[in-house]
Amino acid sequence: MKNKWIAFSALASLLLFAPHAFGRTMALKFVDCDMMAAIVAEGPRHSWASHDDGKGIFRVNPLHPTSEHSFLIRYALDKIPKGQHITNAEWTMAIGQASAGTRLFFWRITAEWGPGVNYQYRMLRPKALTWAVPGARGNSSDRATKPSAIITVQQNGPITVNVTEDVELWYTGAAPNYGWLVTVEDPDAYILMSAPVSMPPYDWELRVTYEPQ
Amino acid sequence: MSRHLLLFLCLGIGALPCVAAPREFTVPMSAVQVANLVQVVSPGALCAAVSETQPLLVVGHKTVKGTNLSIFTLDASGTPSGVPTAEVALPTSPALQAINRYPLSMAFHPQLPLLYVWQDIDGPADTGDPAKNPVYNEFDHLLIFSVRADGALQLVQSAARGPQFAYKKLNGAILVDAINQRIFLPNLQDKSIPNPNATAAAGFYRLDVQGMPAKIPGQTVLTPKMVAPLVVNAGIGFAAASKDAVVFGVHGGPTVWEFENRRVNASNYYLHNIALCGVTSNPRYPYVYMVGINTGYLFSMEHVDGFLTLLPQLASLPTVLTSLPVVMSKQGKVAVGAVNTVYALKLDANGRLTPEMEQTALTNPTVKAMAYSEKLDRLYVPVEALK
Repeated sequence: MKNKWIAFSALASLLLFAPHAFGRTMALKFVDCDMMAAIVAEGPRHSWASHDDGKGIFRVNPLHPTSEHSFLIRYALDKIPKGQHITNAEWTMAIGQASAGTRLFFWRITAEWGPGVNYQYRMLRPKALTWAVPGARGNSSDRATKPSAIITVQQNGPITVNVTEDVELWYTGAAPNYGWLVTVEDPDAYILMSAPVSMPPYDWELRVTYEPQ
Repeated sequence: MSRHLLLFLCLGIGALPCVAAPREFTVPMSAVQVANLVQVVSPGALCAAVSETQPLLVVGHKTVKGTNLSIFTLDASGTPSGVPTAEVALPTSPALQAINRYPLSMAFHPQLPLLYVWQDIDGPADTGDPAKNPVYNEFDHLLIFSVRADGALQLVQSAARGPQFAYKKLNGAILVDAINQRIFLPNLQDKSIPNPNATAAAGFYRLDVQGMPAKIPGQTVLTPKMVAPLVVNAGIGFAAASKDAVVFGVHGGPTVWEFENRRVNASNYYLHNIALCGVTSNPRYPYVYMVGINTGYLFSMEHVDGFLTLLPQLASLPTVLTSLPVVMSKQGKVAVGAVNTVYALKLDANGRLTPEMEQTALTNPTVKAMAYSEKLDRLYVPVEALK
């Protein structure tokens, strides 16, 4: 009887503490984002413009990154418990249509941005501050010197980007979390992506795996 | 759960200090009544407007004894006369006399003694030949009345006739932007667009100093400035009008119209969980408030000079919402109509939605019409009968 009790207690402890002892994976979705913007050179005052329907009505779904359209997104990471070590972070999104060999660039944003963000300004409230280069394209000022990842799109459907290093930097506080910039640098590339707000299975997901330090 | 415990929980929630609400949240039921709500018996109401310069409330109906507008006078405290002091039938032509017409939206000019009424009509069916359609040839959607202090209305001008104005619409609202001298118009259409599902448009007339529609320089006839193509139902409320841009509600989300940008005529934000997006705003807050009509979703979204920015905030209410939001600016709340109920959510100091809610049950199965007077700090809600 005593052995059974010990075995039961051990099993219960294992079930109770296993997630914390062996790490967990958290899936962050659209609702976990606290800032987002789609900015275009053609409409420098708009915070939400991306895909031109051909008649001057720009929509945010699908997203249409080009050499003059950028997408900015920031996930709040405060759901991840304190005292953890980020072991992996993978970010998945869906490609709707792309010309062969289109390269998508994912950059860590290095300048604070906020209300009123657009192609010219990184914020208009509480005071107007411009990007160093319009479209948040100033290397080492608006965005990191090098992209965090470059994905060459081979086919339509989901793509996954490894962003472990960025998430670890933000989680530890080694760099402020201003989110990511998604761009296309080649002027001839063509790509349409589902927006993060899309319904499953086309919504975006950031999966962060962590374990106790 | 006992009623006392429910009341305690509701009051407890109401007493919580105002902290920033999350970006998405569910609003708990409330036992607190909407403060300063005034019920006005006026059956079949579709829209309402209250004047800030004259003590008048006007309620618009689809049909009530042949009249469409009921005018109530207000006393110094904002209490309306028990019965209408005047009733007005909207003008029509002989060819359309047998067809129901209805005021879809009304607005008083904020300074001038003028009432703008946007009317619509139930038929006849559009045969495809505009030249033979009596609505396009004889029906004016925009009526402008001069208003006397005793509530007497006199039609002084009408406009918005022709094939660029869609009809048989059930949603849409006008907005008078006195600062920039514009009146924004819903439910326009561009019949030259080949895709019949994307002919919708919104527009505006420039207003002269007398508050009358005026030709834009270069025009030979009075024509609205339009933005198209949009999907069905363009102009379910206009908000945050500035010199350069305005937000308006369309199918699926809010749209920003930048008047003088020839490349980005408009940008459309997508709210995946709604169809009819009704919008409103108030100059006191840098936010636009949006409702998914026939859903339980109420949104706020920040704007800068009429350009929407960052992400919307979503409050899920345990009901089906039926009206455009109405900002009760002196109360720091946003009210919205529903089935036999009006809800009012408290705003924080910045204008964001909070889960703190008031609700009042009343007799109106579809609360579509509400009007708020900032001067009197009263929210007027037409009802079928007093509860």
